Amino acid sequence: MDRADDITQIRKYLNGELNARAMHELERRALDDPFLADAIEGFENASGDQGTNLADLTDRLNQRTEKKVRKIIPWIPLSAAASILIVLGAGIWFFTNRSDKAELKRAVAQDVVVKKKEAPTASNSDIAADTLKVEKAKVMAQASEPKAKVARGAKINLKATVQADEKEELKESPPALSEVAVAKASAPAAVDQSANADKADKAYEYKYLSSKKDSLGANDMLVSDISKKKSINATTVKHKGLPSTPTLLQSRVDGVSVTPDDNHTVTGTVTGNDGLPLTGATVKVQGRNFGVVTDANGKFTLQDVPKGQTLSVNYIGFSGKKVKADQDSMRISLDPNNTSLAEVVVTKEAENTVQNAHPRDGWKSYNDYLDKNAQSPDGKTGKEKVSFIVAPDGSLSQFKVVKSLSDDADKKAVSLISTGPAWVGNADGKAKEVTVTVKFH
Amino acid sequence: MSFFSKPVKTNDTDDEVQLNNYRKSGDVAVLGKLFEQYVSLIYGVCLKYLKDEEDAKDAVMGIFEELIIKVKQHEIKQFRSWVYVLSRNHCLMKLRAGKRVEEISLDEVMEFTPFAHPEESNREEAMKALERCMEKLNPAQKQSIDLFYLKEKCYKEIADITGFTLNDVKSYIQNGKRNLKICLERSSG
Repeated sequence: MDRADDITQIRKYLNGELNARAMHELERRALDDPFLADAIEGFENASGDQGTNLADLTDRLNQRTEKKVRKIIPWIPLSAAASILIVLGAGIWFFTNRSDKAELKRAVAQDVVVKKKEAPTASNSDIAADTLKVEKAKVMAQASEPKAKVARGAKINLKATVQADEKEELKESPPALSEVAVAKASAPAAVDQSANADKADKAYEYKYLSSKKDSLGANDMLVSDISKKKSINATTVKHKGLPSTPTLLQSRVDGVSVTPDDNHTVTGTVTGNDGLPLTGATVKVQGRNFGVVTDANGKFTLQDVPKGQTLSVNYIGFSGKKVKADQDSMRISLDPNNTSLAEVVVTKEAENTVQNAHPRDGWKSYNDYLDKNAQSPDGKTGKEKVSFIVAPDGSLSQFKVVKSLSDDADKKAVSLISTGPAWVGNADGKAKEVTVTVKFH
Repeated sequence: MSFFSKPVKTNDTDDEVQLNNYRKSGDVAVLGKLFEQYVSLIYGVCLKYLKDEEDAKDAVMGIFEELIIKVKQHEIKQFRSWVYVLSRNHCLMKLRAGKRVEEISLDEVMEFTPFAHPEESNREEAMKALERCMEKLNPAQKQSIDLFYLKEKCYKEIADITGFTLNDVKSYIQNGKRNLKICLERSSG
């Protein structure tokens, strides 16, 4: 029997459409063939016609086997399309990136001018260097103006700035730094200008060591410089085409030399009003969440403190002080704080139970003794209370019957106590009256 | 006595040709054609184990994917039995989520009809042995076997004749056949 017929046979078999002979045939095959037997059992257990499911399966199988064939064909056009897309994408990225850069340049130039206006005292630090009037930068900027195309808006701002700062002395950073670097250090916008000038006019030359400065690089350096309030010491800037991403810019910043403008290191000594150094006083720059602690000599060092910032100094036992960080080396003296901590008194109540008069072996064994010996002398049973005085030395006297049972019982109780276990007197040295109950039985 | 012979016609050579074609070309469509012939059976097996139509269909496709890889890794002598074991194992694996089920190694390809075909010369002897063994079966098994193999009745007819239920008939025949086989092997060995 052909295998393709299996399923029709099985279906007919299960539907009871087969004659006895064919049923027998299938049954016998199933007995020899667990595969067939399992399949029949499966179909038998599943209710309903499985024809649709089988058709569905065949479809799926065909799809599965065809898919591979289809997959192979479109590969070449697909890869071609992909490569075209890649090229296009790269082109678009390149162009948009360029225009971004121009925008950035413009924005940076303006930003620089604004910052400059805010902090015009950039160059009054004590670096010995050649001085250069901003006028010169101005001239440079004007010279380059016709040809500078990008930072036009910045240029106008620059002129105003430069005039405002005209009298200012500019400092020049170490050895091979050029005029441009000077201009940049004191009037950042000017650098932008001259940088653009450089781009436009090769005749005007300036050097960063041996390499040519990139205008955008300069812009970014300035931006970082101002925003970071950080002094940058090296003098080299590498010319590497147009920097495109902020990361690239930042990496360049490290190489730029700009003299520190308004950040400096503050050192100082904290003393008490008697002039002795305070060790462990905290010195904190206000508005920042870090601070330092003075050393054994009361000295502290704070780096990168913007000029004019307020330092807050505190020490236990002294009133805190807020000082302007206007000097590089400061002497801060704190006044003692006279509020003292309240005294703490620890008290403990005396334990009376131990100090009072008591039987030497403790109350428990004393009561046991009484219990054991309290045999009623006349047959009367009940409680008999006796009070007596215990002297500090432990001797007993002044027996009094507080509650009497009978005369005989009184005598017996007193003799039990007076001849019984020894007592210890009050710890405070006073005689103590004690009442003891004797239970006669 | 034809009931020890293998009633399944061996299309195994066809299968083998197609398998070799697939191995050479790597064309899934070739394998798909071969697989298609077994789809209904495999689906039935999956139905038996998984008891859910959708699960069974997914399992069939899963078996096909497994097949694509494993056909290249294993030497297959009898595709039919091999694919059966593969399908069963696949279903058992699926069921395994809850409890562990014994898995049959794919490389121990199962032989469905391990009965030796009695040779002509021994035929007389074998007949005697068979009759002797038939006598040892319990009456229900003996009657069912007799009706099924010798009178060639189907389960339903046997059930009608004997009054057993259909399932009883089935198990009598299966067990009777197994007992016969054990008995015959003992007598010949």
